[in-house]
This record gives sequence, C-alpha cells and structure tokens, in this order.
Amino acid sequence: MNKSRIFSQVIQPDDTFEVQNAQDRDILLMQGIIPAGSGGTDITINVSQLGHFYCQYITGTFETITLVAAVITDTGINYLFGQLRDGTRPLFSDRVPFNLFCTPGRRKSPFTVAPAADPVGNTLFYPMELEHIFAVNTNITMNVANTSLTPVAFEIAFHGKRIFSGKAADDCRLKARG
Amino acid sequence: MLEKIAVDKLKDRFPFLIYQRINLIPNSRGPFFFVINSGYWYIIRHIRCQWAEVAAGVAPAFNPGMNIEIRGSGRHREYQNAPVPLRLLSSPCGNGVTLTAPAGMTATGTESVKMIDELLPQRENIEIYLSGHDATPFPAFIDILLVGYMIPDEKMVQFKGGN
Repeated sequence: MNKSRIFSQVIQPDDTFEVQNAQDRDILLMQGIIPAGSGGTDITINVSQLGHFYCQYITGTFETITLVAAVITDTGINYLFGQLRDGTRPLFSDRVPFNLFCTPGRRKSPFTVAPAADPVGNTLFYPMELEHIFAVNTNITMNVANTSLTPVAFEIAFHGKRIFSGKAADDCRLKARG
Repeated sequence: MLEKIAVDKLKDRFPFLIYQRINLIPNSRGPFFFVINSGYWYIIRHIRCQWAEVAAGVAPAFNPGMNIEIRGSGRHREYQNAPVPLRLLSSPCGNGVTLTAPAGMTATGTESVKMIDELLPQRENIEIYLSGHDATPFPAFIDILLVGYMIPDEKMVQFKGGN
C-alpha cells in the first residue's frame, strides 16, 4: 500500500502557535481623492500601536478620468503621480506615475456619464515587491499630484506581516526562538 | 522538528525607487544618470519603463521600439554587447501606450519584468542610455523607473552608532 508523506519532518504545533501569537498577516489600505490639478496632496495612514508592519508587496488601483467638453470622461490616461514616504524619509526619488508601480492599475470610475460603456479595469497581475519595515506608530504618506481637470480617486494596499508589540507577543517570540 | 535558522532578509535596507522622464530627440542617444548617495549601496531589482508608441490625433506617427544600454561607470564596461530592445526586459514599454496632450500617457499597467539584481556601490553613477527613437513627429518621452533598495554601508561611520 502506497503512503504519501506530506511532511518530511515533524511540525511542532506549540512552536507554530507561538509564532502566530507574535505576528500575523496584515494589509494596510490607503485611499484618497486628489483634487483637480493638485500640485501635491498628502494622503497619510498610520501604522498604529499594534506593532511594526513588515511590508512585502504593494498593489494599487486608480481612476483615469478628466473633463472633456465639460463632461467627465474616462480617457484611460494616467493623471496621478505619487511619492511614498516612511515618516519623512522619501522612498521614491520623485513623484512616480501611478501606472508604473500600481497593479492592477486603472479601473472604471462611477462618475462618468456611462460607466458601463467605459473600458474594463485591469486585472491584478504580479504585485510589486516593496520590502520594508514601517515602525510602530509611524505614518506612511503618499504625496500625490493630479494633472486631471477633475478629482481622481485611488486605493493602494500594503501587504505584509504585523509584528505585534507588547510583552505577551515578546514572550511568544522568545519561546518560538527556543 | 524543522531546524530554526536566523534570517535577516532586510539588512537595514529600504526600498528606493528612482524615476526620471527623458525627452529623447529623434535619432539621438539619451542619457539617464543618477548618482548613488555616499554611504549607501543600491541594488537594482528591475526596471519599469513606458513610452508612447502612437500619439493621439497624429498620423501616421508610430514609434515601435526603444533600445537600452546599461553602463557600469565604475567598472568601465557595458553590460551588453549591443543596445537591447527595452521590451525584452521591461513592460509595458510601448504596448498600448498613447501620448495625449499635454504629454500624458495611457495608464497601461506594468506586467512581468525581467529581474536584474545588479548591486552598485556607493557614489556609483547609474548610467543608462536610450536610443531607437526614429523621426516620428511627436516627442518621445520615456518614463524610466528603477525599482530597488538602498543598503547602508555599515563601514561608514554614520551607521556605526555610539562614538
């Protein structure tokens, strides 16, 4: 009789639980609406007191609308340029076009005349890696410029791990470390 | 039991994206320069780029391809034997990108890119040359984004702490 051996080595549940009590999967969502023609609007989220946030990937989506003959139209053109900051430290050298670092990128806007007729939004492809630890209680800021003639909305998700702060989590880490 | 190993994947590094828009004159070779700060090494993970293959309302404008040459200024050598089509290592390049006044580009998303993983020492000048823009009637803006990480050189006194 054939036996498949899924784990070649023994997993220790106690150790695994200690790790789970010290860190967890987390997503931080940043969303904003940038005023028409804005030369730079800060959109900020806080990492919170829960613990450090180890970011691994970012994904993002945004609208591509402007005024054409006084009508809000989805032109498919990128109007948003952003610079990411960890606290006050810039992580981008300059404001970068959103479509160069955001996947899936463009999406439909509910504010056009006929959203159903607009091109469909992009599908999520490989997220861009952005490995960085944002320390507990710091601010993550995206300074965004908008060259559109209308306000434009965007959403960015930071995917990673939450490294819990507090004595209980520290004790779990020590136990898991062995 | 699985053996525990210490992994320090971050090594004090932080992500740093370098972006420039280059306006390439037809039939020329345009430079991208960026000097890495003193005290930091820089690892280029990959390059993302785009340019307009067509221009809205301008016919028969067509800008099929750009070439890239990466030069190791510290090593005094080229990293390729000939200019390489940009679309062989990046995306979206010119695919589906349209130039629209005033110099806006279609928000075509980046898909797969070729990993480069080149580590450059502090004060190295990142030198990239772009060519292949033919005499199309619209300007060739090329958006170049280097995705990588700054790595502090721990030998430098500012990172040692203490005295």
